Amino acid sequence: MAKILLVEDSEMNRDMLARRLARRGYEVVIAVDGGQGVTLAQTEAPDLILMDMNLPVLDGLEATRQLRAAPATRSIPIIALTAHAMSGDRENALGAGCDDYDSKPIELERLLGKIEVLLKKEATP
Amino acid sequence: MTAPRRATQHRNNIAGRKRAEEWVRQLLEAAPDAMVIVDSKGEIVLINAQAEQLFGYSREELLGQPVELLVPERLRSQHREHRVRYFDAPRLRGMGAVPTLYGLRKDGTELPVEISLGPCEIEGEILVLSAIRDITERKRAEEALQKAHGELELGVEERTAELVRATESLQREIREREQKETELQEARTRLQYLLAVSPAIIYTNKGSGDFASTFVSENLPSIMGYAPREMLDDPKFWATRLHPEDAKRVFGEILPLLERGGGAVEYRFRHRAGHYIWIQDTFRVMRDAAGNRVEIVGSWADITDRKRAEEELQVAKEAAEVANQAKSRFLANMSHELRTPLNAIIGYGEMLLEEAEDLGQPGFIPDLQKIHAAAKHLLALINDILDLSKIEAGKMDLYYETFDVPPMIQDVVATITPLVKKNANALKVHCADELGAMRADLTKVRQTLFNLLSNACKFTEHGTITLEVTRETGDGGGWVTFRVRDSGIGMTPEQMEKLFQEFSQADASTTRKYGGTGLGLAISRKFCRLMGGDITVESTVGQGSTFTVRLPAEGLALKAVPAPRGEVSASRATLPEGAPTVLLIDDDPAMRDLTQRFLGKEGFHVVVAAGGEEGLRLAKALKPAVIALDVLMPGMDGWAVLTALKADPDLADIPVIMLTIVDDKGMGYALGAADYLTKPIDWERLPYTLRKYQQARPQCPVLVVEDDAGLREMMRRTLENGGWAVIEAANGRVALERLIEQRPELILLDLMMPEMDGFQFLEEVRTHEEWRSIPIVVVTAKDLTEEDRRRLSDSVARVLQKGLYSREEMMREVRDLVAARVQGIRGQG
Repeated sequence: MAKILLVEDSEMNRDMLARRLARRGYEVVIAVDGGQGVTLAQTEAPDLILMDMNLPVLDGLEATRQLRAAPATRSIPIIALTAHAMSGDRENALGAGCDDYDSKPIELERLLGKIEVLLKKEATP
Repeated sequence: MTAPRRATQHRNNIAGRKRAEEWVRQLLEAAPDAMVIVDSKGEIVLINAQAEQLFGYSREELLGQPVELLVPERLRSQHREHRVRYFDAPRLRGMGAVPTLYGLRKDGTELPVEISLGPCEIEGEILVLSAIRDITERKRAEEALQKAHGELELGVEERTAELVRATESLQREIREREQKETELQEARTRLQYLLAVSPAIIYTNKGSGDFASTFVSENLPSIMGYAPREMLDDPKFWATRLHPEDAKRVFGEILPLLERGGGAVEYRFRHRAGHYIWIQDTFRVMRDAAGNRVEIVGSWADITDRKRAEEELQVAKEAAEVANQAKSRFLANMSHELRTPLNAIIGYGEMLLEEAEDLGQPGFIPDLQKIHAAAKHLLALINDILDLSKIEAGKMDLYYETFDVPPMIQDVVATITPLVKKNANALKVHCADELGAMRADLTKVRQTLFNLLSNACKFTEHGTITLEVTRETGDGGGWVTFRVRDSGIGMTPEQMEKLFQEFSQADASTTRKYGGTGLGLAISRKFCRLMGGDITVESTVGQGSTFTVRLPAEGLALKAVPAPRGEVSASRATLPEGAPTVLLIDDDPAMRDLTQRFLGKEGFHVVVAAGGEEGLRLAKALKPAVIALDVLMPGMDGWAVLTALKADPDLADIPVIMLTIVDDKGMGYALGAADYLTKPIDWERLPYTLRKYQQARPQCPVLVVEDDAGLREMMRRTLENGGWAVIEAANGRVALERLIEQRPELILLDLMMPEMDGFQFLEEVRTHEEWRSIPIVVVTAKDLTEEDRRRLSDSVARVLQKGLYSREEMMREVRDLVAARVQGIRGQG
């Protein structure tokens, strides 16, 4: 089963999304800030990363840039998650190297759709 | 007597006689007059030398001759009678006692004489002594005097008549003068009253230099605090009391106005008490017959209150804008803060629902569903509020993508189906063939359709909802139309009016019965307008409603990447030559992009600037036909830009259209904006509005050469109403002077004029290479001869016969000629 790295500082959101993804059969690895996210991305080699944009230590945009800069993590698909729906969020996320973008609150079915698309793309390069 | 004695006496007598004769003779010779002594027979017995001289006879010729020899023949018999009668009773008659007599000279000439007669007895013989005086000279003098007297009388009569005439004329003149003076006095009184009742100060000044005052009304102290004397005695009174910050601008504004014959400026002026008051200075230039500036007549009105109100308004407006932005920010932040816990409620609710099913606990499911639905509703409300505040803050971005219409419809229908079934409605979908793809913000199109369909479902029970999708082809890709029709409760016209307003449903009870935020339609309409389309509605109470969404099929975004700042739009190459340049100043990149693309399609060159400073720089460099200006911008805001534009003489004439979410037309117009469009922009109105001002502003004026002031005025008005600037000249000579000052785009020329007529003017123009290309339209009442026509045909574009052409024709003529000319210039450039 696919391994998903969830980088999210809000405990409630993290817990909820992790449990629901697990129920759908994904293996979920948790990181609570951007720095930890970058580290775990390298050590755990997940199939996909869900990256909150508003993170402590290293924010989502910077973490994404670092992941894209490192050869080991360069090709891991990243979906940006953000609570902001203001103008510029989407461009900023995509500009930093995210593959897709979803806004909170998470609609699980919609997010799962995006996850599946990216995983399938990954599986059939 | 004795004999001897007698003898002695005789001797004595003889001697005595001789002595007496000798004595008489000497006496006669001493007399001044001619003397003639005649005896009783009428013969001359004695004359003196004076008599000889007078009559031209010698003594010998006369002695013994009858005295009548010396009288003209015609008078001789009369004289003889008088003489005989005189001897009967001789007595002394003095000079002048006898009427004028005439003598006869030996040479036959007559002479007027005056005669005195006296008898004398010598030896018993009576003799008559007559003294004769020549009065020729006296007669002549008398006659001359007589004649002179007569002439004098005649002269006096004539002079008297003249005097009478002069007096009458003088009296008439006096009466007229009195009449005039009365009128003058009335006019003066009226003027004084006018000056007295005027709330403004009336003044005159020299019209140059420091504008030294020559007259000022008595109300000067009440407004400015100064005594009129203080002002009149100081040539620099006005110039030295202008606010230092206004002085340069004021002189800059006044000088061109003086050239135009008058105008109005506003500035701060130092009151005698030391503070500054705002003055509106309205003036006209008085010129003499030769056109020289004589003086300026003007008024100063105290507009301090108005200015203060404007400033307060400005402050209030800025505060309101800040507050409005703060509100939008607050709503955005608040929405975010609300969404975080909601996120958890919805998420955990869904999880509990799933787990309740998994764990076989169906009893919890309905309650969990209610919590979940309520949370979803709350989220929808928050999303709507967020959308609306983003739209209001100008932060709503559009994500254009090209998508096929039918799958999008299927998607929307699938989503709405549960709602359709809820009220036992039926949904019919009619998609036209060949709908193909469209370019728009997919999410917003879906949100709009979903909103309309869910409304239809809410307000319809056991009815039919129809979704019809059609496509019209046309210029620029055509339109896609989505029509949502229901057979529901319908609306009254009053309800429809409020339909698209925020937080306004048909009425309060609607909210209770049907729920919803009341924001959906407002947001949907704003989305559609942002995308260059709109939503319209038709409805009848009890029969249902039809909502129609019309969107441009190819969107406003033809290219994904916005043109770089300050550069001319990429679509320029496809625009016709001479397309008007529009400068858009707006800090919102989406708005810039959208406006640029949209107006590019409408045939404008669009140049964009992201901020005020950049906008001013581009305005100076490009001199665009029209400037579209946003109000809310960081740094230099739209009001500041507008003020700066209007203060620059080079840019002041460019029409500025305000594009803003701040609905403050008064402010815009007060600062000199030509028009005001409220965001979200009504895309159909924008190009129309731009074109209106772009056409209304020719680059160069029209020169009207016409000696009839009334006709000239009429032409000027007609042209100005048509949006042309006009230069006037009363004859050819003046027109040449105007030509040197400023080159017009077109000349309207009368032929019959004083000083220099139209033909002479044309000859002058022909001698100047640089003027030859200016089109000239002759406007004349003259019946043109073949010769005239031949003379005109070389240099005149068109001849309009006065009275035979209408104003419209004149305007059309002017427009066509100038348009052709402008095209020509652009073509070369």
